[in-house]
Amino acid sequence: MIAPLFLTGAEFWADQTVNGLTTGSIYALIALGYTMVYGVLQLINFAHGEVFMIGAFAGYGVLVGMGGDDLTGVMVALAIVLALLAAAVASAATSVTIERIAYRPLRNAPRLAPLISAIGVSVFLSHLVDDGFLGGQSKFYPLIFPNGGISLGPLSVSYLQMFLMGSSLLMMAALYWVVQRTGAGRAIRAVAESRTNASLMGIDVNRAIVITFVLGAIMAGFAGVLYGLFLSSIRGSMGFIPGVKAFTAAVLGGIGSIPGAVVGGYGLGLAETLGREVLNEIPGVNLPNEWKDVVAFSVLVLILIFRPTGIFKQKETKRA
Amino acid sequence: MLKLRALVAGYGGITAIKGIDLHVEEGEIVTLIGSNGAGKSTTLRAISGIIRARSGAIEFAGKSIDRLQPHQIVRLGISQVPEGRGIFARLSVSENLSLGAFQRKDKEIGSDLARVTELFPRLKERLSQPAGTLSGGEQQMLAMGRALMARPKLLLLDEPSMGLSPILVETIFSTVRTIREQGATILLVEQNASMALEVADRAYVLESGVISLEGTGAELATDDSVRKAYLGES
Repeated sequence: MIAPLFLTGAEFWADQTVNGLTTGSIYALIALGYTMVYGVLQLINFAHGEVFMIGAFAGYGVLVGMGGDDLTGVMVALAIVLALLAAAVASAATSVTIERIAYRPLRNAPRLAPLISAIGVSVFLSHLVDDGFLGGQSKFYPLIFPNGGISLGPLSVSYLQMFLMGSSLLMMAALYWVVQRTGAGRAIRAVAESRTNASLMGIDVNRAIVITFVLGAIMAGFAGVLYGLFLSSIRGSMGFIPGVKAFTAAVLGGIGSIPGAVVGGYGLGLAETLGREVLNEIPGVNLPNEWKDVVAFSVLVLILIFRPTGIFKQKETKRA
Repeated sequence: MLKLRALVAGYGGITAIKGIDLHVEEGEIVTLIGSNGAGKSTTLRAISGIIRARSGAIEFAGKSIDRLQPHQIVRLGISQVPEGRGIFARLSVSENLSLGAFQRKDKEIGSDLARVTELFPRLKERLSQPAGTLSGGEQQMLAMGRALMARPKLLLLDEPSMGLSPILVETIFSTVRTIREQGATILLVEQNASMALEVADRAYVLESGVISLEGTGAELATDDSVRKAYLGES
């Protein structure tokens, strides 16, 4: 099985690796929100995929409002920056509202209750956008990002992919800085270890939880715009598959672990892209694109069986 | 400074404290002794707002605090070193200490950090280590040092001697005295009654959720029933 790999050119595998890292960036950004919320509340925020979707639509609104396909030159850059900002704000507002309405009243309920309300919010939001506003139609991001790219030996990367990967890394670095170096970040990490003990430090636990939702939502909103720029087509149900994949990435990395979400995101992006192509190297096999999903969810099943704690195991701390 | 009046509190169907009256005056060390399950920790948890008082009143500096959130109570100047120390194992020692000063915005946090590491030199060598790697005694020092970083007016200590070797227990109690000399008032909960009564100005004995005895530390240390029940004498 290894030998046939070399029958296809190095360029092909370099391309697939870049594709894997590109999707991986989006998974990693979304996975951060899952893992951080899980860290403070031990809750799988299944509405997080819809927070990502709302970001994509907010960005779409800005791009179209500023001229859409007619944008040129420096206005393109300005429109994209504003779209990213709008997405961050809209996703954060959505996420905070969900926390307030669907999770906080259930804070002391059995753990199944907030999980069910999360799924309810998820279904509600995707159908509200699809059926309530769009009448089942998709919207399309204007194709305004400059074409072209650079080539280095077998490696060729488009400008859009470079922007996507570079800006994702920057966002993750910024998040890391907030979590590791600021008072709010310390408060979040303290709440993740013990809500009671954090409150004894004078930390307003509810506030720390809201900040956690906001940080995760900013990452998801940002990812929503990147997704739109890259794949163009957006709709209300667009958050489901990337959401579940990002959740898989978070589990792969070790849910609750921030570095784990990043490693899991890139790992899953690479695994599903390269995994399908490796299978396609088998003579007579020609799997369509959807097989990426099969690979990704096989990864989820395998982790849950063999290493449910993920790559970066979170040390158990006593919860009071 | 602190006044509990007819305080009733508990968890779920259990009423752990059944109407206790207690007061702590500024500058005092007051201890609350009693056996396991007498309601000592529940009392401290109610003062800090972690559990709600079912009835009765808690007043601090003349103000009712029994409806406040825990973080608001910390802001008023009450810090607690909880049972089991409550350190954040994955955070570094220095991050734990700075969380103690979470509510403060003043410029003297740095000099307070220096003061705390002077009080507990062992912590100074371990500032960048995850707090979970510390020994039990070091964790207790960290928990106390962290509480001091809040500059509390009133410090609540829940069983600071638990699980420590006799030498460390001596160190912890001499630190309790040092903390009082530096101006804090202390309410100390202990099972180690002999040490607690030695250090305390006044003491209360808690039995099955009610106060059965009160007096100065010296009085209780010589009281026959206390000697039998809590000091291991027959």
